[in-house]
Amino acid sequence: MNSPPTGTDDNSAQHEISPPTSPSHNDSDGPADADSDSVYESPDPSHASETPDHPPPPPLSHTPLDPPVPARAVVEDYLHLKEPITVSPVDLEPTANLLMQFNLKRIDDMFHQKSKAEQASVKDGIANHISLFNHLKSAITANDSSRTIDWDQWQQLLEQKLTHDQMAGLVANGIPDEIRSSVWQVTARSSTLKLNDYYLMNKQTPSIHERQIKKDITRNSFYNSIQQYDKINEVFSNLKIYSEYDQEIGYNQSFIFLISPIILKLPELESFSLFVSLMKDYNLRELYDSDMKGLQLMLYKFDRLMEIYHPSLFNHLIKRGIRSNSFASQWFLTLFSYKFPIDVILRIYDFVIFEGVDFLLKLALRLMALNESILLRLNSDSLLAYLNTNILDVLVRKDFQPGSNQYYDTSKIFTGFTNLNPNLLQKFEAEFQKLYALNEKKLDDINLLNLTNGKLRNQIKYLQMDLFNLNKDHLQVVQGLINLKVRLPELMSQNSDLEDDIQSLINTLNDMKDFKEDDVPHNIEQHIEQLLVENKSETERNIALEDQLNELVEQEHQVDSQLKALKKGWFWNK
Amino acid sequence: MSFPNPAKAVKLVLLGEAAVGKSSLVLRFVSNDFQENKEPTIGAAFLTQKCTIGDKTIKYEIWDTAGQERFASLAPMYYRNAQAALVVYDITKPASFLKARHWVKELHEQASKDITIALVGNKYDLVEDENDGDTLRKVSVEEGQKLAEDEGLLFFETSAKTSYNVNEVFVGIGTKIPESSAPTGVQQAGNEAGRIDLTTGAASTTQQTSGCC
Repeated sequence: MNSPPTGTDDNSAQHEISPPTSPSHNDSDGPADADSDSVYESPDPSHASETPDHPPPPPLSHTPLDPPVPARAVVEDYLHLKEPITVSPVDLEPTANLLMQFNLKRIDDMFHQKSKAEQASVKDGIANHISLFNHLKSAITANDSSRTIDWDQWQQLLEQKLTHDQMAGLVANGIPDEIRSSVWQVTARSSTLKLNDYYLMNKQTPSIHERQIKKDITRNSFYNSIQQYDKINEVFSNLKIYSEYDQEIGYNQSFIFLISPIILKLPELESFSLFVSLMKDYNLRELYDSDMKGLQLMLYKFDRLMEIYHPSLFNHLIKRGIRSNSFASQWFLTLFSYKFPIDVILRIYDFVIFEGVDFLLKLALRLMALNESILLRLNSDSLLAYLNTNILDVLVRKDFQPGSNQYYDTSKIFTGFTNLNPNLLQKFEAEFQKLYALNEKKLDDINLLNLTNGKLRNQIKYLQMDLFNLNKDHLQVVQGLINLKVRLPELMSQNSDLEDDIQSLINTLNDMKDFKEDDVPHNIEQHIEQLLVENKSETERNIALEDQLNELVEQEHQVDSQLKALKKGWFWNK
Repeated sequence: MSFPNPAKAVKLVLLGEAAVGKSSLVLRFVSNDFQENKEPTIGAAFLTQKCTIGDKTIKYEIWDTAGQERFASLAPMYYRNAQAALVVYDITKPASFLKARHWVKELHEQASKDITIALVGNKYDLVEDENDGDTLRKVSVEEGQKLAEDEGLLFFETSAKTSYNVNEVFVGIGTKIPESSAPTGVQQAGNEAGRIDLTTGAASTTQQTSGCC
């Protein structure tokens, strides 16, 4: 979503707006507004100029067929555009093909901005093409009388001597195949001068896209005959070198489809130059931006044109949620060359080279017009399938013979174009740029909100973790508190017991203090000493007494034994 | 036209690197056909096909997207309201498997929450004759299965060329898709593409009605 702004951005700044829902044509659209009626008619040079200010029907009007509800999504889109969008209109002559006039003028302006050397190279190229043209003219008129080519007209075209309307008439009938490559290159003012050296120098340079290009070359039906097969190396070189030349775009798978019609008609180097012109000068490369902004712009312009030129069909589709982005992307990305056969594609390139890439819008509108009655009858569930696969069916020739290469009726495809006004397209582009910027801003806001959201989410995660931890702690604390509460009475009673003990101890202490001061004798040691002395003397006395006692016991024994002896003697004396 | 059960429409989107065979899988499923060197898809292609599973009929509205990285900015438009997605890779191309991982991630982040995703490893025909010493196979069955298990995806290895396992993918999706999955008639306001009002439920006469399975 961050592609560099395109050059068209400047438009939005200087535009004045018309009320969004008004289909188109305020005064700024210039004098040559397309008349919606011309959708179904062949281009008529006088037509547009006769009814220059007649506006097409309002986009949201409905016929009885239409759903009653206007396209809400589209209305909502416009509601975002509160400020007026203004365009500074380009001055255009009231011609039958305003796109061609606008495109050729643009190419001419770009040519005059080129360096003198490049201008000279382009001029040389044109001179060469004219001389080639003259050779072809004499060869073909001499040898093939069946070819009816208006040589004078084409020569005047190459020499830039025709009016826009004359040119438009010639191109509308198809460029003769023999002179096609010359007409393309002269009209696009493509020149090989600057690219020649670059091309040759880079032919061997490897590119990161090489493998993909090689693979894709085999995945199409352009190169199935022998002489076409020879072109494969040239296609490869063209695309590989372009991917290096324009690295921002690089390679897109659509390019095989884009380059093939060119390389089949032009020599290698000229093909590359014309391809570069289409990409850069014709702004085709914007379609392939990284965010495909150019494609979104094409689709937006297509939706707005549908709303104006085919309001019933537009409402029918939008009511069912179908916008051009669900079926037309491929048309624009491949210049319709995805499904059409080569002869039809070459005709499309004729128009694109003269009218610019916006011709694709004319062709897309024409396709829708041809299918309108069928699409309006289709149910919602088959609309998308039809738009994606069957949209070309209406172009198939009823009298198609197998073997003929005229499968599609080109007279149906390449007539009845709407004469689109470039100024109208510029206004749409300005609208788109504004919507795109709004959308970008919205996306930025969303991204910012997502980012903030992510950060907050992270914060919440951390906070939740903290909360979890706190809860855990809290639980522990509560448990502790409960335990304490349970122990409290016990402790209280212990406490009061202890208080009692303390009191009694204090009392005892106090008592003891009194006792100590009044009742403890000072001379207790003397007293003890005295008692010890007394005890000693008593012990000594005791010992003396014991000795006396022992003496007395001894005396008693002596007395006893004297007595016994006496008694014995008495007996014996008897 | 009368159907016992009106077909339930399922919007399905195919995503995957360029040239892995997305369009070929669709061509096989829708037309039972195969084309060598099929042209690359530009932008996206839209096709429909009905598929009968038991007593229910599903009408697949298939958005076949372009695989080239250049078109990646278009993809959200197609997967935004999709109820089913096939994320396809080429079992002989490791880079395509890497890309498949990215798509799965993007779908999980950006697509609708209840989207049913099938991871599909295509080009099985290139390795089916090879023995244990596979030479062409560069993404093993186990790698695919592991990614599918980790991300809650259905997993198939297929060959659009031989039609091996192709119908099974769509039957598998149809079986797994939630009954209550977004009613298809819901019209998104804004720039949405591809949502179409099916509340009328009428089966179109132009649609293919052959069951696929």
